[in-house]
Amino acid sequence: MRRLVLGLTLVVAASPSARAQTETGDQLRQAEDLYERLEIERAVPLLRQVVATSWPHAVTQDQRVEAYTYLGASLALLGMGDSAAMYFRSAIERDPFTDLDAQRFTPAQVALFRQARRLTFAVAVRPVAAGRVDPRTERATFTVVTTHRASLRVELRPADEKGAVELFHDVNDGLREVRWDGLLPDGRLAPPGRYELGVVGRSQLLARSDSMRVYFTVAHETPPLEDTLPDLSPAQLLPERLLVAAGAKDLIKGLVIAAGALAVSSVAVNRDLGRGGRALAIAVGATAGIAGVTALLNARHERDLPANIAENGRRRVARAAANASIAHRNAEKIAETVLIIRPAAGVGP
Amino acid sequence: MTRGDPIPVASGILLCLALAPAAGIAQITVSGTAGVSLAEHRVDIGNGIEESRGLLFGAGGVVAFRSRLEISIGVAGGSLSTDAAGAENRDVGEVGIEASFVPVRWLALQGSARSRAYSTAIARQHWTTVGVGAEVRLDFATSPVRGVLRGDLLPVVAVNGLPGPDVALTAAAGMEYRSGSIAGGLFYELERYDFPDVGTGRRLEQVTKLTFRFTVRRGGRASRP
Repeated sequence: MRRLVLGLTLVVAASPSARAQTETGDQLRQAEDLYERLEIERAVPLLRQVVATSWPHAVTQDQRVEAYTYLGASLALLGMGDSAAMYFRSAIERDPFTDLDAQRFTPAQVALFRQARRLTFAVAVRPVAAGRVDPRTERATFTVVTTHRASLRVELRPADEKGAVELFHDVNDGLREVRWDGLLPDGRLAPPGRYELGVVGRSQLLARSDSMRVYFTVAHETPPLEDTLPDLSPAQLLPERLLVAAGAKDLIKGLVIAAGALAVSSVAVNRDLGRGGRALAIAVGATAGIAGVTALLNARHERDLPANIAENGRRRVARAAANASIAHRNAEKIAETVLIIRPAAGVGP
Repeated sequence: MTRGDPIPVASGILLCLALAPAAGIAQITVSGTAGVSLAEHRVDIGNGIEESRGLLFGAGGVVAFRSRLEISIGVAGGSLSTDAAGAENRDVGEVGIEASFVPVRWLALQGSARSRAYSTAIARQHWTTVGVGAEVRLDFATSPVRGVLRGDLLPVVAVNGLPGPDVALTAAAGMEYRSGSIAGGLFYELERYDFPDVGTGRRLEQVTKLTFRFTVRRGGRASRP
């Protein structure tokens, strides 16, 4: 086990990408330490190295945004407002969610940052967070942002359908949380599948538009549903018309039962014990024979069987009622459906 | 009860319970049954045939699931009296359970287990049987009547003081008429046990019954037509 851990450590340590990001992270930490100690002149070159094209190590988007932000903040302290705003804009363009904490930065820095936001237009949506949403009591929340005052439309649509849900369409400035009740425009619960969340904004300060899309999946968590009863098969329905042939068949059935009773009392009995209740068997056999003959006589003329028609109707009604009851119970269960939301691959403008 | 006593056999209402039809559109059908049997018991232990008769009363219930599986339980009891010299009247009581699988409408495959006790003033004898068998159900097309034929083999028969029988079987035939959720039926039933000779002669035992059964069903639907 120890060898395995050591091996994994070596593999990770040996990964060029991870090592490069560590180099960048170390450089950023060093620059931030200098910034915090107000050694701005020493911090700026380190930050510029990170954002320079000649920087030999991998830089993540977050690291680049961080570098631009600290560059802007540093240059603001040095009185280089235009340069500071330019770096702030670079940070904002890459991540419109970037902001300066007013508790950590000076009012002048914050003012410059806000100026940069006014000069830059971008919209963004945070990757959808995984979660469970009970549509009856909860809402899914998506976070969007515009860098400044803009007309913003947030739409959600199934990836393979055209129907879109407009979650927000109004003027927006900055962060906004948009809620979704899990329903489609026609009131249906959003079916399982892949969804696209798109934001489109048009600046009210600049003649610019921007958009962004992220994707997520929706799954249903529903209690098990009951199956409805199948259609009544011919074997489950009574004959609705009496046929002459049916009487003959019933006679045969009656005779079979009669013969069976007599056979049991003669073949299956132990002859050493005498009669074997032959009289009892004859009683049953006679009953069966009479039933068969009665059936034959009863079916001499073809005719409808109103009682059977009524009984079939009753069975159909009973089945329909049972299915309606099942459907009602299933509907109640479906109403308890919980949406399972997970982020999905894919992002676009 | 001593080994030399004639052994009367009681009625099995359980058999009647198993005759309940399986059809139904509801997923679960529950039936309650009451029955009375005229039982005739014959036994020969080498000293001639000894015969006893009596009425046995029974009750039970059947639960049918989706018209495919039926579970029935039942109890029965009564007294058998005899005029044979030296023989005693006896009380009979039994309890049993049976499961039926209905692969097609006209056929049921069945397995059963039953415990029965015969009591006299001085002794008691226990019978335990396990059976497997089949039942053919013939529904009339022109009237709400069903004919029934049934046969079972009893591979397990355990009786106090007796070896296992060489032959152990039951058979039945009957008719059942139903109206709505109520049914009445008349059945002829046979139980046969041939015990091997253990030095004192062969013991042959047989029970025949004429049973009238009354059933009330709840849920599902009546059988055809």
